[in-house]
Amino acid sequence: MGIQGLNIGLSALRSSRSAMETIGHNLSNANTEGYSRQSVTLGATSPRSVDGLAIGTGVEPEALTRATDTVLNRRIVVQAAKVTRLESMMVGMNSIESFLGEPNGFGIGGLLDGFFNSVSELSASPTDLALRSEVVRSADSLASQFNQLGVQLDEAKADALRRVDFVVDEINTIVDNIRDLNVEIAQFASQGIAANDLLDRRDEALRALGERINITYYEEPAGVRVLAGGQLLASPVSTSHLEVRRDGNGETFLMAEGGTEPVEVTGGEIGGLMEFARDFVPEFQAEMGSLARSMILETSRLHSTGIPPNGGFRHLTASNQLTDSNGNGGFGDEILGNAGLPFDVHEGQLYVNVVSESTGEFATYAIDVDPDQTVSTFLQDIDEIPLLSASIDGSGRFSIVAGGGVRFDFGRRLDPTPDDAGTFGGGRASVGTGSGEPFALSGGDTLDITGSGGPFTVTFSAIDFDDIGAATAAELAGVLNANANLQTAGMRAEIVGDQVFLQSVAAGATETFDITGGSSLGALGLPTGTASGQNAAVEVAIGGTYTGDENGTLTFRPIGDGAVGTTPGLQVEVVDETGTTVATIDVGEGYAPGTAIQLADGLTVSFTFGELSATNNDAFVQSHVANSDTSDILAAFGLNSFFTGSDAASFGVRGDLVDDPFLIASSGSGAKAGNQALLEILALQQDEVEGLDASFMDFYGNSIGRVGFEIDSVQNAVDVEQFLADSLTARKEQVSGVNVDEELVNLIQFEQSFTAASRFIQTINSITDEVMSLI
Amino acid sequence: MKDPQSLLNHLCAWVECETTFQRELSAILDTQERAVLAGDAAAVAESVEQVQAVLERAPERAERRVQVFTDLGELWQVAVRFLTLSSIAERFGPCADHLVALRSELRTATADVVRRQRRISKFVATHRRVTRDILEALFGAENGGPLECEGTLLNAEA
Repeated sequence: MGIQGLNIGLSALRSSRSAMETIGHNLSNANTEGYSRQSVTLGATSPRSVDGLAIGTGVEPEALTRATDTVLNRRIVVQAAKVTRLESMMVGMNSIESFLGEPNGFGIGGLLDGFFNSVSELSASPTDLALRSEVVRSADSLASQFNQLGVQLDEAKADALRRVDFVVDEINTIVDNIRDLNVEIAQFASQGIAANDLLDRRDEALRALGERINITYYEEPAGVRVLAGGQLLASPVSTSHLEVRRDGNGETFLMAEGGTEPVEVTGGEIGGLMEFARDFVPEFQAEMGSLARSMILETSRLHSTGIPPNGGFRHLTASNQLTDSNGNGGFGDEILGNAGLPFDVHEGQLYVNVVSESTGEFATYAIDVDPDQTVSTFLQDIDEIPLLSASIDGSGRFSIVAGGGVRFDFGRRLDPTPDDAGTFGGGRASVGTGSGEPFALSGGDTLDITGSGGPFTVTFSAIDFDDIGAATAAELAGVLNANANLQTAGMRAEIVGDQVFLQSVAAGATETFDITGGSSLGALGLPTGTASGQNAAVEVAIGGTYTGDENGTLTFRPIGDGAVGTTPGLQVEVVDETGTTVATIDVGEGYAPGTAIQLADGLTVSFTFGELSATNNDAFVQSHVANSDTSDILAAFGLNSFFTGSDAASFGVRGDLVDDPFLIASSGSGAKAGNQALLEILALQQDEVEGLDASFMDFYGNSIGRVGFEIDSVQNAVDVEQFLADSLTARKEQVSGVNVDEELVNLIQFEQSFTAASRFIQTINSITDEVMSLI
Repeated sequence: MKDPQSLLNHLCAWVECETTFQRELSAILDTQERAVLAGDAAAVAESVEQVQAVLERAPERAERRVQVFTDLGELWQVAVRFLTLSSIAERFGPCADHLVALRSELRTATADVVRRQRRISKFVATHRRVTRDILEALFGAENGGPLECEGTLLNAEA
């Protein structure tokens, strides 16, 4: 055997050893993430030419190849971004679900139930202090839960964004790694060496990057070029780090180093985190904020017009502060609609009742509210109410204080004796205009009256009216009451509704006056003849609780003349503010005077014995209020509100109620044991709420249902995408993976065959030695 | 006592048979060498079986050789251990030319077997060492002792 023969043997040995070592490398990396199986391709070395013959020179490793599928790897990277996006969303969404505390009863749903249950129990015993305290406690629990949820949602969002910062750091590290690998791989490639392990590591780095952010990459001879959301992250020789930035609105976005546009993040863990923080949490926060805001507004709307059992207030201070938006140091010049109040003020009316503490008698004042008026003008309107004064403190809180002996409230008080003037069968001699204002008088029109002092004439002058052809009741009454002859005659003018009544000041059967003529009779609709008082005046009593939806008036007029309870066919017609007859009541023969007659919308009326006169245009007007604050100014100011704040974070129970649960306004009309306000608050549990298009419970149920649905949807999507990812990974394993069993079987077969082969070596040696010794 | 020419003929027949055997063994070892170099365990195993089959015929030839050499020793009153093909050819003189030629062929064939055998022996030892290194690196000797021991279990899922 010559030197050449030895070379053949050595090259073969080296080649075989390379193959064996590759098997060992495969086995060693069987569990290495991203490792691709390698194999040695053996090839014949170049033949040697001897005497024109090609003599073989042995075998050598031709190439060390990596079993990989670049298309499959690319799909795995894309799929990884989908899976991790969904998984990171799931983590956040599950945390939100845990915050809700449903269905263990400690969530908002259970606490809403608890609050309304406590209101329901109180409505049955409105003066029970223990039940009042329970209402305050349950309301406080509800408010606290809203506060806590608001904080938890903020924290969940902040956690997600902190995680974004962390993941961006990871991304930058991976990007640096990819660049380094690019350089190393290129160095090996320049020497004609395929750096299979480095290529595997780069594939793995790309997959790890894809798990964190949506990327696309391109393989170039010099390395891979990686882009995320259109921005270059890594080139074969350089990197652009990502940076987390937040704009003035708190929105988080990513910028690539040197980039001019934000990175469009659509996938990977960061995609899920940002979608969670940017969309899911704010949407849920907005829903909970709307729920909290509506709860505060609607409850306060109803509560602010309610009345505590002990009556109205001696003073009230608003919960909400005005804002000095123009910065001039004052609040009075602020426009109501733009005064920094948490709730809108609308054009409407506010009814203010001033109640005598000693007699319980009250007067109701209607204030027109316009969101375009200034705070000062509203304050003046309150100030103009007798015995009330309003002010604004230095912090912008509006206050109302009652004078001595009176209280005030904003309830829907019903005047139980609406005919105080006695224009409906009263004791005074009385005759009313046949119709209401406006009165089509002319300048110089006259009214001839004969009173106790003799005849006199009232002459109407155009100068006393804005428009004498359309004179108002107030103008007409003003002119009459200013007439000296009328005063001398012991008479006065009273306004009832839009009618004007001429009356004797004194009551009794002896009181009379005559309307004898004048040019104004037609315009005023006054009858001529004698009006007489009576000793037994008809006393009107209104009872019940108004349950209608609209503010309005009922005008009662007799049909015909006669005595209550005795005149056959005597009826009273009831017309509403539109002039529509809503009832005709039999009060003649057969009616037991004083008996309450049921009217519509929860009201009753009764009449005592006495004479009614349609001829003299007898009438009285009863006002009923369904909503004593159609402007929402009380809720906006937070005057007699139940809750405070305007969103989930600021949700609270008014401090006055916590200190004194008896201030809970249970009654709508002022009855000590009334529960109208409580029942109306209770109805919020099921009634559709403006702005939510659902009841509180339904809205909350829909919200948490949506969260649950979205979690289910994302979970399903995770399952599907994970299945696809697993399928792709399995395919990669088929292509690139190391089958440990197979590799081991190969090794053991080698081991066994070599052992077997070695068994005969000695035998052969013995034989050949013996033969050689014989030769 | 056998006729010397007859003994020479038996000896030539044995040498031819032994030469054939050595050539056959050489061919098998050539195949085995290629299998070992190619890392083809199945081919190695097959060649081992062929070696085994060939070696099974060795005792018969050995008996024939011992008989012939014993008879020749008795013929020449020489101890058998001092007889070689070369000394036998000298004793027979010119009539043993054929034996001289056969001796040369046997020497060539046997030398070829020895050479191949040494190469294979080296290759197999190297392969075994590499294989053992790999297996021990993967599973450790402490997990089951020497790998050639019967009953050693390899965790193929590791």
